[in-house]
Amino acid sequence: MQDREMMERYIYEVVRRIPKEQRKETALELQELISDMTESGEAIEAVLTLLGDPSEFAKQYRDETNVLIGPAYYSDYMWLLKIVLAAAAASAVISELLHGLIAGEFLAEIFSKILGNMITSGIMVFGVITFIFAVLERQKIKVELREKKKWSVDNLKAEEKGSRKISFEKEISWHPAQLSPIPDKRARISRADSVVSIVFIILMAGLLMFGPQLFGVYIFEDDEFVRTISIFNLDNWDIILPVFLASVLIGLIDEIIRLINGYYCKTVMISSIITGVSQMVLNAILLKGLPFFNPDFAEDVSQQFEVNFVSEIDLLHYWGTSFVPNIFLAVFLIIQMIEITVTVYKTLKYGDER
Amino acid sequence: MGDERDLKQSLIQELRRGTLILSVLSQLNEKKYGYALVQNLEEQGMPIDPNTLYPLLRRLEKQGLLASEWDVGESKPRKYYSRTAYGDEIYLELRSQWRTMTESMEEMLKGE
Repeated sequence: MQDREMMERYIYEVVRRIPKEQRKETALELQELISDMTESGEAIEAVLTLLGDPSEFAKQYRDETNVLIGPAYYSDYMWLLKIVLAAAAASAVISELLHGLIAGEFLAEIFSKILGNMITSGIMVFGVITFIFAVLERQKIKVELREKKKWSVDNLKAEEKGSRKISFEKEISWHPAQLSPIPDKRARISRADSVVSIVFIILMAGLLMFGPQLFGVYIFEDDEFVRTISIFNLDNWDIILPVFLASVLIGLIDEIIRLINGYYCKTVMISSIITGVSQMVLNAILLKGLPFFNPDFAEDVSQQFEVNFVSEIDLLHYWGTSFVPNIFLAVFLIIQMIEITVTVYKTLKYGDER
Repeated sequence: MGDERDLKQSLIQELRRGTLILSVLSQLNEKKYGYALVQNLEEQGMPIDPNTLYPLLRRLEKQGLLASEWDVGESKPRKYYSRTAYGDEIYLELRSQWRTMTESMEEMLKGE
């Protein structure tokens, strides 16, 4: 191989591993270095051997802060990922199994569908969880940078009073007064609660994604499954599902923020308020706007079974009216309000300022 | 055996690491290009691998201690580094720290 070719290959191996904006400059630098070293009498092989593994070289050039999920969140991330993947798999199994058995599909068909759904939901859940943690990681870095900046302002003030001379004591920007108090026991957020909520959220999302038709009345004729009358509005499902999933995603982010903080604090409170308000809006859109429930459900059922929901106390009697969605919406709103109130109360009473 | 030697090597390296910046800064009161600096340090008994030195120079430049310029006048382009005024300031401070430190260390290690 030509010397020049070998040098260029080496430089390429280093440069492709460092940030784009540094590549050109670094390539020029390395060119200069390697040619200087060969000109002093060394063979190119010896020079490149001395410089060592290009990936190690590149590592020296990189800022090692470039991580997707840092050590602070890593163990929570891995732990939650396992739970959530299991929940996603479970929802794929449940929805396909029920659906397949009721519809009388062959086992092989059911299994292949389960496998397919498991892969889809697994990848999706993996992506969503990783994305949420990555965003939180970025946010954390931002918060830390901001705190540092706050401190350097104080340093500047101190400098004005004193001399311009550089003193290394100045670098000590941390003070014991910064220590935040150990969170009150009553401010702890139970990990088990978070996990139960997260698993529930994933299961619900999975079931509504893979088998919304499972929720409804099953109609058999001569012991043969014909169809279900879904309680959901499957006609508009392709609009409803994304809105529902958006609400789920927001809920999931909130739960993860609770989980990694572990106790009531400002971050959890703000997240809880934002989540609560946006879920209220999305719930209202779902229930009143889209509508979430199948408006023809009661009528279909009564036709199918030749019964009439005439009784005033029968919920289905009111199905077609705005009464049902209003009831659901009211219940959701009350739950959200309670959730926010509890979080705000606990944060202000027991939580700390972080 | 190998592990023991590795450990020894890595401890020595760690001890040296702290001195790298000071030795590099000390040589850059006038502008030098990278490889000249490598040879310079080697001659004075403080060898430093180019794959450590080059990224270090870049970092020090980013921190404002060094300035660089490309000289394209000669047969091949060369990047020259030299201390900035801020770099001078830091260098003097580091040097005085070093002197106090070596004094204390000498005292501490005496008679061992």
